[in-house]
Amino acid sequence: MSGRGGRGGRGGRGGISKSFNREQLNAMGVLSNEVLPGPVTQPPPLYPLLDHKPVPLTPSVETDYLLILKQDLIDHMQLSPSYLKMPYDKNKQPEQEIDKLVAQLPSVKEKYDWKLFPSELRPKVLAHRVNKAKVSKSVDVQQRLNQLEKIEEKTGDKVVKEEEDEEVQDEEEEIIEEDQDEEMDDGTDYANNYFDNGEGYEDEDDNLDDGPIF
Amino acid sequence: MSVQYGKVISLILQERFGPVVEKVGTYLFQYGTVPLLYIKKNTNLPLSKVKEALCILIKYRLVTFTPNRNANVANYTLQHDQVLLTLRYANYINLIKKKFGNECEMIVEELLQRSYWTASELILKVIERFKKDHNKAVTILSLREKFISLVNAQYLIRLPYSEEDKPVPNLILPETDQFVIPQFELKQMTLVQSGKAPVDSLPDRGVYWTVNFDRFHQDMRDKLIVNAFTKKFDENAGEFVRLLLQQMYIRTTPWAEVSNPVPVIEIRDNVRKQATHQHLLAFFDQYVSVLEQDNSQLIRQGGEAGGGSLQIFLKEAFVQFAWETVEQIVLEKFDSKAARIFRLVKSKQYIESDQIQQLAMIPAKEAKRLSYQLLEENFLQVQELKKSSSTGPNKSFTLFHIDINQVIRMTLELCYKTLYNIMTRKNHERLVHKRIIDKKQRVETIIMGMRVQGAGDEQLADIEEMITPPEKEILQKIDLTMKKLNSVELEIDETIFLLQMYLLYQ
Repeated sequence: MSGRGGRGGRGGRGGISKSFNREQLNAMGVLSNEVLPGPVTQPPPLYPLLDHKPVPLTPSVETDYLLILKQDLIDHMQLSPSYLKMPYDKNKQPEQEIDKLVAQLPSVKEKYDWKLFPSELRPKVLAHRVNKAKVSKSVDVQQRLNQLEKIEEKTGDKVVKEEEDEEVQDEEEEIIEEDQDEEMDDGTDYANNYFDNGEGYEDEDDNLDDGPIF
Repeated sequence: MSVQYGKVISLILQERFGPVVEKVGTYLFQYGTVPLLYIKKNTNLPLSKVKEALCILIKYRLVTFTPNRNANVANYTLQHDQVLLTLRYANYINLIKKKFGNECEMIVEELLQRSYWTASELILKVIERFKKDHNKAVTILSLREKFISLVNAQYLIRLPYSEEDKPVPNLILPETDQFVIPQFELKQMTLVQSGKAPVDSLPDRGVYWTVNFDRFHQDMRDKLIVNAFTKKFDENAGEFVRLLLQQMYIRTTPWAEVSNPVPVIEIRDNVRKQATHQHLLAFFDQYVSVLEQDNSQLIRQGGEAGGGSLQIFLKEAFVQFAWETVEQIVLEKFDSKAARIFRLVKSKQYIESDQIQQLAMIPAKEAKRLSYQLLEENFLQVQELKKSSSTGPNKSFTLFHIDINQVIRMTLELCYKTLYNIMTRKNHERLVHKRIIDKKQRVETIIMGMRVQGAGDEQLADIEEMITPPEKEILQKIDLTMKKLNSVELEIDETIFLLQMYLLYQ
């Protein structure tokens, strides 16, 4: 809020012209023979000293009661299932005994009336799929290439790498991953075409190789 | 909203809901309305946690959703002013306690802890709590009456609901449904209470009630006005204004700028019926004339018919309160001479630097220094006027003035910054003394456990000895510091409320 650049100098990017001519000084109300404060050489202190002590608080029964209420509310919120801790990092060893015990406490899950929430937020319970979302169709390159020599089609030669490796265990993620999968399908059409050209290029090479031998 | 505001929001969310929800909330604050996957991508949290965090935020009505173009997916928006309101929950509970008593206080407290609930379950829980904490047996019937009175006074309001079954529900609350009393089946409730019937069997399932914050703000606004009059005149004048406001609601919408005329006779009758302020009754006419002639001009005569009527000007009141607040802030920050300059500029509206020196009767150099200090801190603004004659030097006037809207918003930002500083300091204190606070908590839980098992006094004393005297001193100091910081938080919230009221009426 403060720090408007001193006496409102021109504030050019190159350099601050620190001298005004006499007229401007007079207009601002500075008498001609006054000493102006020097240039600002460093940013203002992080904790500027207070010129005046703030008014002391008036303790009263009411404020005490309000404080107790406030603290009660916050304590209750922190102990309720609405307080989420960061997901437990399995790599880090808990530092103290108490942390180990705390981690073993069963976390209470909140029960919701789902009519008031969008359906996408519901935890989904699906049959655990064996086939993971990693679509890596086995590529038998030679066969495929020979097949596709004359037919120009998109090859199935794509390996879709999923970002959420960690979520693979989670049942809830299946549908979302599938959705993303489809998105990836749509999104990488261009990549397919690109690969296509690559395959075709390799194709020609093979032919060339075959040529002389034949 | 500003960066400062965003930081305060983050700290509030972190204190009450933990780091995960804080991350989600901060992202929503910075990026506006976004669908679920954006949040997941940018916060690097597992999707399940993001979903949980959003569910919690939606439950506490801090996040709302609207359907995307794809009707299966929702866009989420953070309601940041609701987040700031959480600082005021203690105030709301206190207000209800004073007005309605302990049972209603507990009803509102339970509702604030859960954001919304069905009426029957709420009543049963309050009965349980009363039995546990205060050892008092409260009947379902009496609590039902209290609940109905709260709904009729509009302190509780129905939660918006959706009739259709779409993937992204459209939550609406028809006006007619807002304060309709739900069905209570007392027999069923007694069955549920004794555990013989499941909670699902209650008739008002799905009918959720929540706290109506606007109504509380109305009460707080009235309290502000009454306090102002009490401080300026005396208790009786405050009582008079309170009754005037009470009568106002019969004829005027709650948030109107000016009240419709209230006949004086009605107020006189009310004072007589109440019979608490005999002095007020005796000198009623004098009080009326004093209040009317006061130079704040907040209560004026509306008409002569039927013994006269009075109007109270609410918008004007808050304009004056806001000015007063800003003047006091200038006084506390820069001392009385600067405050004098500020009031001078306020009365003259546009004033030159030399004139300030003359009229404020402050030595020239100091006047200049103070006025430029106020300018730097954005309490005063300058306006340049060029008056150039074709020949001769270019004359330009620099005039000081106050743009009250700008100053008020700047003060609001200062309040947010103060809040942020206080909360950060609290967290810092907790962190620095973490070891000792944890130790104390462990000792307390051990003592509680042992007390339940019926341990002897000596054993309890032994355990308490685990905390050494110097540690006890440190704990006391920490306690005092936290208490101070918390009280400051409450006071800042009062200032924020006043400034918000001013901005509301603009």
